[in-house]
Order: sequence, then C-alpha cells, then structure tokens
Amino acid sequence: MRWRRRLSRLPLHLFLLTVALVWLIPTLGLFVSSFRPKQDLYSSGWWTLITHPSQARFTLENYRRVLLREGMGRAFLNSFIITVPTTILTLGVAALAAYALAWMEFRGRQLLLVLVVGLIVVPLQLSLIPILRIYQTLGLNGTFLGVWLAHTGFGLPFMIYLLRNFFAALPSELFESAFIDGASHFTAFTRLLLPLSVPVLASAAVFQFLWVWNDLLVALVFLGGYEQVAPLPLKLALLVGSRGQDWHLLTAAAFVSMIVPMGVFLSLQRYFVRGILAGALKG
Amino acid sequence: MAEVKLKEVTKKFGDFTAVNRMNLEARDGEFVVLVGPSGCGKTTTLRMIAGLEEVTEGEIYIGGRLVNDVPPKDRDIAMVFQNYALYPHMDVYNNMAFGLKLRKVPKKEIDRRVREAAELLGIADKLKAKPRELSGGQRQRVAVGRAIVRNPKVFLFDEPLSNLDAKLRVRMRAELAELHQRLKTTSIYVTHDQVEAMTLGYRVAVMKDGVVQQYEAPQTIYDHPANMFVAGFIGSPPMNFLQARLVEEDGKLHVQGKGFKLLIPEDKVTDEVRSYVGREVVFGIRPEDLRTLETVTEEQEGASFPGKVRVREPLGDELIVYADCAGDEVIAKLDPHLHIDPGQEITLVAAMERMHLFDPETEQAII
Repeated sequence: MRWRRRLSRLPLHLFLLTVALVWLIPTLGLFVSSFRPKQDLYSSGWWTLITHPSQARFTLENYRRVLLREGMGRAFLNSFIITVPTTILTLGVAALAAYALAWMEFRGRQLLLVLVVGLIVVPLQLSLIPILRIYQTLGLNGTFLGVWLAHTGFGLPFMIYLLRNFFAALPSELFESAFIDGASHFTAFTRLLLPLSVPVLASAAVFQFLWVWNDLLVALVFLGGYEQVAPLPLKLALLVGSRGQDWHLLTAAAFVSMIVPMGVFLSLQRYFVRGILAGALKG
Repeated sequence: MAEVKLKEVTKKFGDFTAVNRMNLEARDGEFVVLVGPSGCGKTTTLRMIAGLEEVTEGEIYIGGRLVNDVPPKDRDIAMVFQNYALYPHMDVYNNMAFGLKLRKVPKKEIDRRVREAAELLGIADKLKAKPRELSGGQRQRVAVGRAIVRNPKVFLFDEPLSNLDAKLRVRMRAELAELHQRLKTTSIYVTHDQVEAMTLGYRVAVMKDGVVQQYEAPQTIYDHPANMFVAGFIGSPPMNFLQARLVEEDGKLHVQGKGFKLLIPEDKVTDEVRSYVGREVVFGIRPEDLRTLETVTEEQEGASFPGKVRVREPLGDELIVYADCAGDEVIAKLDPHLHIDPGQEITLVAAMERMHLFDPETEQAII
C-alpha cells in the first residue's frame, strides 16, 4: 500500500527535483568555482568536478584573500552593523504601531491603517533624493544612523501591515480578559501579545534581515561609495568594478555575502512559512 | 460583594439599538440570568457592565458607585468568557495568578488563593499544564478559577457553558450553582439556554430586541409569562398558541377556536378578560398541560377537544405528540406508556386552570 502510494507520487517528486536542480545549478557553480585556483577558473568550467574529477583542484586561497586583503571582512562587519539594529528598530516600531492599529480605539484609526497600507505601493526610489537632501542638512549622510533610519522607514509599511493582520486575528476576548484582570495596554503588549506573536515576529525579522542584508541601493545612496562603511553588496559591486576580471575573488566574495542570509533563513524557516500564511487561515 | 443596577441603559451601534432603556437590578449576592435569542442584546448588556462597551445613555451602578466612566480593571468585576479566553502561553497556575500579579498581591497570598481555587474546582493537579493540554471542562474550570481568585464584587458569565458537550454542560451547571451557594458573590449570567436560565437564576430577565420582556423568578416566568414571546421562549416544547375568539354563553366565558370550545374557569375571569368578549384572542396552553382522556380521572366540563395524531416522538420519560386539531397544530406532552399511533383520533383534555390568553395585537398576556 505504502509502496503504491510512493510510486504514484514518483512523477511529481521527479518534477520537483528537476525544478530544484535547475534553480540550484548556478549557485552550485558559484560555490564550486569559489574554491578553484585562478588558472583553473580561466581554463575550464566548474563542471570539471563532475566530468574529470581527477583534474579538479581546490584551494582556500580565494577566501583568504577576499576576507583579509580585499576588505570583505570589514564589509561583513559593516553589513552586521547595518542589518541588526535596523531589524530590531523596524520590528520594535512596527509591533507597537501594529498593536495600536489592531487593539487601541482612537479616532482615525482606519484612515491611518489605509495610509500605511498605501505607503507599501510607493517605490522607495521616489523618496531617495528628498531624503538625501534632508540628511545633508542634518548631517546624517554617510553615517550608520542615517542608513538605519532610512531602512527602517522603508521597511515599516509592510511590516506594520503584516503584524497588524496577525495581531488583529488574535481573539479579542484574550485582551478583554487581560484588561479586566488589570492589564494596561503596555502590559497586554509585552505579556500577552509578544509571547503569542513569536512566529510572525520571526518571519518579519527574516524578511527585514534579508532585505537589508541584500540591499545595495539604499547603502549606496546614503553611505556613498566609502570602503570603511560599505556593506557586503556595496563592496561586491566595488569589487566588480576594480576586479571585474578576477572571477576567483568575485565568486568567493559572493559566497561570503550569501552565508548569513542562508543561515538566518534555515534557522527560522519553520516560522517563516507559518508567518507568511499568517491571517490566511483561521485556527 | 455588591448590587448591580442598570438605569435606563441604552446602547447604540450606529443606527442600530442593541439595548433599549434597560432597567435591571441584581441584589447583593443574587444570581441573575439574562436569557434570550441571539442578537437580543444580552451579551452587550453584560459587556457594558464589564466596561468593555461604552454606554450610549443611562447609568450603571456597581455597589452604589456610578461606573459609566470607570475602566474595566477598576470595576472590581471578573468575567468568564464563552471561549474561556485563557492565556495560551501561560500554565494554569499563571493564568489564575496573572490578575493578582498585576495588582501587586504578595506572592504568598497569590499562591494561597490559586491553590485554594484549584482545590475547590478540582484542578489542583493541573496547575503546571498549558491550556491546550486540558479538556473543555477543565479549561472552563480554569476560567472560573481565574475569576474567583480575584475575589471580585461581581461575577459576569458570558455563555460559559455553550462550548461544552451536553453531558458536561449539565455537570458544570450544577457545579456553578454549588459554587455560588458557597461564595455568594453577585453574579450576572448570560445564556440563550432556557434550562440554564431556569436552573441557575434566582431571577431571570428574558430579553428580546434589546428590551427586557420580563424580569422575575424562574417559576413566575414559567407560570405567568408576561407576553407571547416569553411564553414561547420558556418551556420545551414551546407553548401552543391557537387563534380563538372569546364568547359568552349563559354568563360563562368560553374561548372558541376552529376545533375547540373551552370553558374559562370562573376565578380567571376579570374585568379585563370580560372586555375581550366577542374579540379575537390567542389561547395558550403548554404541551405538559394537555392530557388524553384515558389519564384524566375526573372529567371536567368544557376542557376537552378532539385531534388526530400526526407524529409521535417517544423520549422514554415522556411522549411528545403532534396532533392536528381542525387545522391547528397542537403539541402535547403525554404519558410515554400510552398506546398512541399516527393517524389515531384522540381526545385532548386541557388543564384549564393553567391556560393563558393573549391579546393578538399587543401580544401581552390577558390571563
């Protein structure tokens, strides 16, 4: 019985496997290439590993060079300095705002919500120049604080929307019960809402983390092209400019920039899937 | 402990009036039940007393204090919700202790009260369990426990038993009654279940369309319903309502319908009743106030009428018979050991001393 069921699912599994392979091949190629010596990279493709396994040679030299001599290590650190505070700031503000929009009674609440949702469709490119000019007056250009604020601002509309939908779907009796028990809004937020919202907060964190980590545009605009403050994508772009021919370095650098997002995603993916579905189904 | 008083309380949602000029008083230690069909405003009333809804007009007093503008947490009330509303991430102990912790009650005192309540409710061995590990009945006990540890002035219950299965509901109903006997805390209980209303309430307020139809002791409501709505709502199967006319013959009043002409007992006849002579009325008789000829020991004059059995429903302890009486459907609750078959002609005898008459226009009771 079990065998028959597996057999009937075989075509589906084969199909999914093929799709997954097609998606993975470029990354796999990148991965293999990043470990190959410079000469090999120019003389043969990464598939040599499969076609002529005996001729394949591997080295860690590319990574050593990228991290220590080309400044990828510094960029790695910069990426963290930009991404972690931004994620915390965005989530903190969005959670408070979403709570207010979901559970506090005040005049104009619906209008405010519509406004926030409306902001999602505004392309961030539109606001780059105006913000840049404001930053110039405030002296925030080229500072981490400036990038934190910019990223937070761009991330908030969607985050508020995502969190509000989840919060609003929680049963109202829980909050009413807490209010009768003597809870203030702040207590209800910290002792009731936050513990119940771990899945959606984790998925929101993944979203925001990945966006900011992979962002090139905002960093380029507000930090300028300075090496000391450049995060990974910016550094990578700079490398393409200065080392456009040095594939062995670029492949390694690209992989360095991918490691953290993959780690974050894999460790939080069970929340991620649940969070995306947040509000879609009841129960 | 405290009494609760509603004075001309009105609640409007936009143009819709959920509760209309309601007056209600629950005495200190009394168990009051609000009952009515869904949408009758009973839950809204309870939520206004709790402070979860604002009052549009009127005044609410708890323990003599006007609480219209007092937030829920300062009203000294506790509420038990239909879906329990337990905090899913806290264990049973913390669910019960939460309110006390927020009120900065000393730890020792919290511990004592929680354990005492858990003991009382038979959930002492579940204190470390999370709500999802509990059965429906246990969850409901935790919800009740959370209310009693606070030792509030008033308990508010919002259909607390309607999520339980029938058997458990009966048991929890008895437990709630017993609990109230012990604690003697003023309680206001909302339900759509008339059995809960009758068994639990010292007094019952029957509501419809945001208006209290009658507010009295359960037996009074059953014996002397104020109008057709109350008469039809309380009692199962519901009271039979038959179109009729009041006629006078030889100085005696009769109620005459399509298939019956029944004598109204002398002691029921008042001047008001007399004023209906010659007019349309609605004759009301409860199924349990109908008998068959075989089970009546002494035949009363002008109390019987014929019918043809359409359906019989034997329930073991009683037999429900749907009979056709000259086009009117009459339901009778009869002795289950009677041999009655569909299609059979029977003679029904009404206990006329327990009859009701209503005005067909206003639907108010005349008798």
